[in-house]
Amino acid sequence: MSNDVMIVEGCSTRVRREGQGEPLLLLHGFEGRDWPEELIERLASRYQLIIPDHPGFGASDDPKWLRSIDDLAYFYLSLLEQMSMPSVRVLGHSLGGWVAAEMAIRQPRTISSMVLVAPFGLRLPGVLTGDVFFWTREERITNLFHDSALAAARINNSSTKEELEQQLKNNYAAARLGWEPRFFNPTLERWVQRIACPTGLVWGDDDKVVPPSYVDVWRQKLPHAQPFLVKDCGHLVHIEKPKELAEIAFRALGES
Amino acid sequence: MEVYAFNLMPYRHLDFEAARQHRALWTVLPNTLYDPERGADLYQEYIDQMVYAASLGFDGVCVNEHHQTAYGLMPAPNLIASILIDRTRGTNVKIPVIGRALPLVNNPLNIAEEFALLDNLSKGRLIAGFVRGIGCEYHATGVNPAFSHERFHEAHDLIVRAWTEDGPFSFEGKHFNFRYTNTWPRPYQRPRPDIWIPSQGSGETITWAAEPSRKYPFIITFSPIASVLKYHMQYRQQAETYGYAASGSQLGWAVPIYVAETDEIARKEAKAHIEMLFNTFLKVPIEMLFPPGYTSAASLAANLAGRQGMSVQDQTIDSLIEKGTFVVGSADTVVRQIKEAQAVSGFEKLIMMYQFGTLPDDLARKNLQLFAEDVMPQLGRAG
Repeated sequence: MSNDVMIVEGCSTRVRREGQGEPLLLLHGFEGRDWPEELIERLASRYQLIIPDHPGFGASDDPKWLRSIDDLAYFYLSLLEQMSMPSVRVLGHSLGGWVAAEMAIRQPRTISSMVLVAPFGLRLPGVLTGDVFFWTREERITNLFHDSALAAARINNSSTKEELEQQLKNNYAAARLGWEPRFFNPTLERWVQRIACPTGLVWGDDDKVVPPSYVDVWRQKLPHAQPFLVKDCGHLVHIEKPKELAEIAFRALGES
Repeated sequence: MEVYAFNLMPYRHLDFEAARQHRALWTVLPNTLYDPERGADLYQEYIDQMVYAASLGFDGVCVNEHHQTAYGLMPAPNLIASILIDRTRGTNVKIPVIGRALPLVNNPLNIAEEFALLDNLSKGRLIAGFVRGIGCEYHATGVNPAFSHERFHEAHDLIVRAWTEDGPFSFEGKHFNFRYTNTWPRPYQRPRPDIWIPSQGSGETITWAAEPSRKYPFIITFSPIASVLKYHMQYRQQAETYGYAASGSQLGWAVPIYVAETDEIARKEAKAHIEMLFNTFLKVPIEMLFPPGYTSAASLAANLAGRQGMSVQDQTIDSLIEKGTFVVGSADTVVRQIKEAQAVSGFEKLIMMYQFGTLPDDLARKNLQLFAEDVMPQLGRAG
């Protein structure tokens, strides 16, 4: 493995690299980069993984230009150009799934196939996404998981000062991208049908952040997309069901 | 010393037992707990109290803005200010609106216009307070807290220009863009109404407010006296860095004060009401109080909050007195405390929150009367 720092659009960006083969870009959610090693290992057995911290998150810089989801989409298109990768697979979770969709409507040929795991980005009128900025720490953790034992463990595991600062940094970036309209882009709603690549839509059946009924909005706009419902699983599919997610990714992304 | 009377206008008739079933008295407190019959009477009670305060010799009577809460019933403080202006017509009583929350509106010119109108109605008695609103109000309005500072500064620049530059002119910003900025009426005061900056204290705000082109009075609100004085001294140091000496009138202290016949009576009468203010009206989960980007102090606050996730631990009247967050006692006790604090930082603006929590009308009025008769004359009034 390696941990590279790339300068993209003036932003020092932490990018972890794993595996060999055709590239697969992993885009993390609003909680920051939290892919479990089990998932990384499985995916790295088939693909060359590109695993960044988004600008504004984790160990990457927090650039002044980061103000909306558009900025993040254009940033990743620039990053791929800089890496001389004209076409990649993408797996994006939550906020990261939203970014993948935004990239795809702007430059459809850049993404050969993608898996969106409980993505934000579209609106289902009458069904609110969870208010992640309003919830207390305990509520937020509880609502991220299906498995209450996993939630309890995380709640009881008090954060270090560094971790706390990291969470605040991530939260601040997430707010700029998704506070209002709440994790939703009306432009994506109007143009999402431009996504033509093979697309997998993965949802935990007990997702309390982006309710599973959101899959219907995506399927209406993208009739070709393939839905996968993961049983006994919350918003963090990659953490609660890494093996299942890897299997789904292999099916939906195609052979390397 | 300038002395002002201030009332948040809390909904003191709240069913507190029902209210405590909810996470806070903010944003999610069902408005079915507001009874319009009693609320309408309460507005009258509070307005009459403030008019009474004006008649007692206070330099001004202050209102402020809060949204979706029983903590303060003035989502549109300028409406109340307008009434106070008319009921104090012909006097020189100031009407500070401390303040309007600039980032929470999408057209700050509305605020420029309303303030200019109030300044005309009062023939120059308006004082314009500018604030960012508290964290809960970003949940209540949907405005992105991550852009709170930016929106505040940009709205401020726009409003000051609208008051002081000849219109029409165009304004080009990140958040606000206007081809035609041409505020009718212009403010009554030339070049503009005084601007105050109420704050819980922050280095960034002090640096900005003390800047020589502004020299805005900095009003520290509802904080322990040690931090009030610390921020006052920080303001003075900042002024020196800019090359001038800050005057005492640039420094203010907004504090709940209760005066009675003796220390013992004062504590007894105030206890339940001040504890209700701090332990119920102000009890808010940290996530509501410090949404992302609202303040860099969020980090500190999150640390302090720890497991419990509440911003404010339960306080007693004794702990509030000990910290100097609440000034209570006989006239002599209250005078001594104010003078001791004044001796440290030399502040010249005292904003007395004379009504707090559930304090009823008779005690609020007695408080105002005793303060005016027995405390005010001892405070070195310029009159």
